[in-house]
Amino acid sequence: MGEIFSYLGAGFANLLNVTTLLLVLMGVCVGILGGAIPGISPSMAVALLLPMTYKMDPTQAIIMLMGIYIGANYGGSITAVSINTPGTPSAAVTAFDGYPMAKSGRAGEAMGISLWASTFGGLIGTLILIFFSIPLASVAIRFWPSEYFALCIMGLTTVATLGGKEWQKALSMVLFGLMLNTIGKDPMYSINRFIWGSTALYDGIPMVPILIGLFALGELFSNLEKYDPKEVKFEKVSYKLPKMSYYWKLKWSILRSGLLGCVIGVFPGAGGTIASFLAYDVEKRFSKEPEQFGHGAPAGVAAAEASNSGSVGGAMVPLLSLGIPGSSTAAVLIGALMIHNLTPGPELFTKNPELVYTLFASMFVAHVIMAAVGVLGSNLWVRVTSIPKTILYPLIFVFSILGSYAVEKNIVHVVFCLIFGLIGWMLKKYKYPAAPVVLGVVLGKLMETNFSQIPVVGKGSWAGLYNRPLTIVLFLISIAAIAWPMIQERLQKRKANKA
Amino acid sequence: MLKTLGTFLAADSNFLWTVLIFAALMGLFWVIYTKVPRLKPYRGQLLVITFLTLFTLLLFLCTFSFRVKGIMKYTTAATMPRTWCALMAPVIVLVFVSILNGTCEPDKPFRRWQLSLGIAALVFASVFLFEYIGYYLSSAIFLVVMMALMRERKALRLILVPVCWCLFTYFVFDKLLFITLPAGSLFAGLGI
Amino acid sequence: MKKLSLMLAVMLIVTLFAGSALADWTPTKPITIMNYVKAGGGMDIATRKFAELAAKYTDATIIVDNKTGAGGLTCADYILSQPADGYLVFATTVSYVDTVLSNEEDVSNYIWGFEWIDDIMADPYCVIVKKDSDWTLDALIADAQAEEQIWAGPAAGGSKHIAAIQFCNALGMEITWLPKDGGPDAMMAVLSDQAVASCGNPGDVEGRELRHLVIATKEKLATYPDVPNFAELGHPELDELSMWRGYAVKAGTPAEFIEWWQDLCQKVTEDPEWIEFFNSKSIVVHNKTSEEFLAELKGDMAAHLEVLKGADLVSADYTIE
Repeated sequence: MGEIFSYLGAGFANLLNVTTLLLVLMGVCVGILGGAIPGISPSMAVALLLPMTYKMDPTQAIIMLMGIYIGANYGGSITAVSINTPGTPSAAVTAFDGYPMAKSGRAGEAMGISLWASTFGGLIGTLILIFFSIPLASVAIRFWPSEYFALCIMGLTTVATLGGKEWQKALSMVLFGLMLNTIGKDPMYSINRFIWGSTALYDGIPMVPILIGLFALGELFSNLEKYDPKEVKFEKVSYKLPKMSYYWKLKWSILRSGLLGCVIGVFPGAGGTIASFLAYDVEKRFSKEPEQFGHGAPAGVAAAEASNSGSVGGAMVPLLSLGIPGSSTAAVLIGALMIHNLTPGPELFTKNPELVYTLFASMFVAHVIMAAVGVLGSNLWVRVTSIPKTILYPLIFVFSILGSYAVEKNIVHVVFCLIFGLIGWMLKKYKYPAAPVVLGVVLGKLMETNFSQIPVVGKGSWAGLYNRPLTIVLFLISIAAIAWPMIQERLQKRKANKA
Repeated sequence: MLKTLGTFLAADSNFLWTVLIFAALMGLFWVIYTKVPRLKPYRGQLLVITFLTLFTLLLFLCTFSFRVKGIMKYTTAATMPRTWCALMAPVIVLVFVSILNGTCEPDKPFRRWQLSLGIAALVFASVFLFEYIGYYLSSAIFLVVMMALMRERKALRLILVPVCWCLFTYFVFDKLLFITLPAGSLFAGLGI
Repeated sequence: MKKLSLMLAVMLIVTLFAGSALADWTPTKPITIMNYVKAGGGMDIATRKFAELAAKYTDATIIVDNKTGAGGLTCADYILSQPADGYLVFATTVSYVDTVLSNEEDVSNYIWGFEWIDDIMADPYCVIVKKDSDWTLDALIADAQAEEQIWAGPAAGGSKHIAAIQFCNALGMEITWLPKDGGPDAMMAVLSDQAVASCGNPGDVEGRELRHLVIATKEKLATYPDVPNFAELGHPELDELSMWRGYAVKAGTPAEFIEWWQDLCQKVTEDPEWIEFFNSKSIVVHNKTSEEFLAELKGDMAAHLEVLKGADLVSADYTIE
């Protein structure tokens, strides 16, 4: 343990020069900006800037890219909160409560929460990465398809909390999302499904354009429908970010979500988005006012952001201890290391401990810088909500279109974004919740891949579903998650009857 | 029977037919929901779930066109889509029941849907123009037209917003993130 | 008559200028190398190193860009839609060819719409198992003959799957393929005992608790001198298989560009820095141009199609003639 601290000290010492600090600062700023632009996911932001680092010193390259990764994970929440346009898939969960808060004049509050939840969630993830990566990696290596499948089922149970009163509609929407995910090549045998010969759909329907469509454009079309040019309304909006003491009451939410995010982030393929859904679900269950969720609950924003940022540390666990990237962004980081003839994996600790611990130290520094940049930036950005609608709405449109185009420079994706914008409008109009669609789209492929692989790794037997202890534990949690609210209700009724 | 129908619907060349059949069925249900007085207040909600029903049905039929390969020992490419379709069936019934027994509130009437649809059409047009007149010009035109549609009257705003947007995208995308946006074939042809 | 003579004169002048251009062709604007893999992928690293070293030998600007999607088909579609002037080079690999075949795409468009001009390197195939296991190749073969054996790897019908089938056919064994979401995921499957082995590239074991059983190269890699090749195990024909990477341009590109580019490839692939960089990554550096490359491509296509059909991965009526 003492060794870790001395290495970490040396890591911090390595950071103490202007160039390195500037690189971290630049990484964080570019990351926040990229993340805030709808369509640029963290992995894209890192990939786009990767060529720039080819000529840098490896340590500097990796800490700058790490800064981008951290910044981009937070940046997605800025536009999610202020204009309901999630910049990254995981920020969709932030939008569930962040945007309603902003709409009711609490934009400053929501942005403050997302910033500090991101910062502390990320720091929790970093601490876990440094001190618990070996035990966590040994769990990751026990995950077989049946465990991943059970994890997906657990993720699906969160639809219960997304539904609300008209739960039947929520169920139909999550299935719609799952069905959408079957479009494209099947993950096992590479058969083209439901694509009518379009190469643009080989890899499945594009997730980011759909998110932008459903949330940002759906909201916009629905607002335009109610738009009245003569109506000049000056809403009283509170721009001020709350005082630090305000966040104290969210401490347990942030801690729980950060931990959960980090743990889910460890499993390659699961990632920050699923973590956000699960953390959101957990917080709603823990909350004393669950009915607030979806209408502007601070804990909802905190949960989404803390878990998403926590997943960064988690994704680095398998990268450093097994040589396997825990997320698509981590996969790009591997490319960055390879360019410099470094191989991620346990050997890195023995061959280049300096690089590893400087990277760890830079993660702390990047979070601090992110908080500072975030405070300055949010104070400015929060005023976006006061831009006249005649300017704001057209800008959101061009922003969304550009975002969905940028992902793969493909016009078909823009068309998808628009179609889903119209679908989003109809869903909003007729009170079908859009959030479960995202859940379905996020989980679908992971579920299908792992479900189909259960009998393959079981050599013809489906026994993996019931004879692997970890799978059973995950299934039991899922069952409990569904059953608990019913039991709770019954208990309350009994209490009421007695009284 | 199912296979023939599925193969027909899923064939690359029949895409237009599939869309037309889909649209015709949606139209038919629209008429039905409008004619029946009891259903009319819920017409929109019913159409959404009808859309889902038809979508489910379409996917289900198309799964019969998938080739079964020799390596598929336990599951095929159709397993998961059919599972979702099967699960969707009872859910659809539940939604219909919940709408018909009055659990759901009636639809809210449309207000200025023309504006929303008009702008949607405008976006389509602007995206279509990307390839010809380039991203910058196309988005600038879109911004001006949409602001005009929203009755923006200040000339300064009408000029400054598109200009600032183009500068912003140029510097952030082209210069900072190295994403080149389409310049347009029209100008490429002129050699600019 | 006057008009005609004027036209003739113009044509003559144009031809003269074109003739002089032919003699000494140099690019007049930046050349873009388009990758179908994303930034950080194998071919992406190769093309960026290429651009960096090419600066030593030419004043022309070389830009590297990525257009991902559909295993390279999106990128190919894009290049085929652009003019065949040589300023857009397709950074391609055998994996792209296998994508075309396993999707039963039209080869006259996706393969012969291009001119295959230069093959610059090959990433050898190898068989990978867990480091602490005591597998030998013989034991692996015996085990596969006795009971079902699972190998993990990327997509079914992809290059590594085809190579694995070729190995197994030659070695008289049969395996079940566990398709994973890319190379690292397949390695994770081996690490977590879901699969016994994987067919991958030598670099895949780096930094992981894995080791090679055999590496398919004619000359043994300097990085792994102790790992046998197939020749030592009595199957020299398997050492011929490799994942080549190279360049293609749209068919109809002017011959002078192709010549210029091949010349550049020659210089870069002989650069000691290039050789050192890729050898340290266990990649075989070579330079095969038009004729030789074309023969290799055609040979691979025929062989891979046979494998794909044999495994019922593509339908029997798909042809590439």
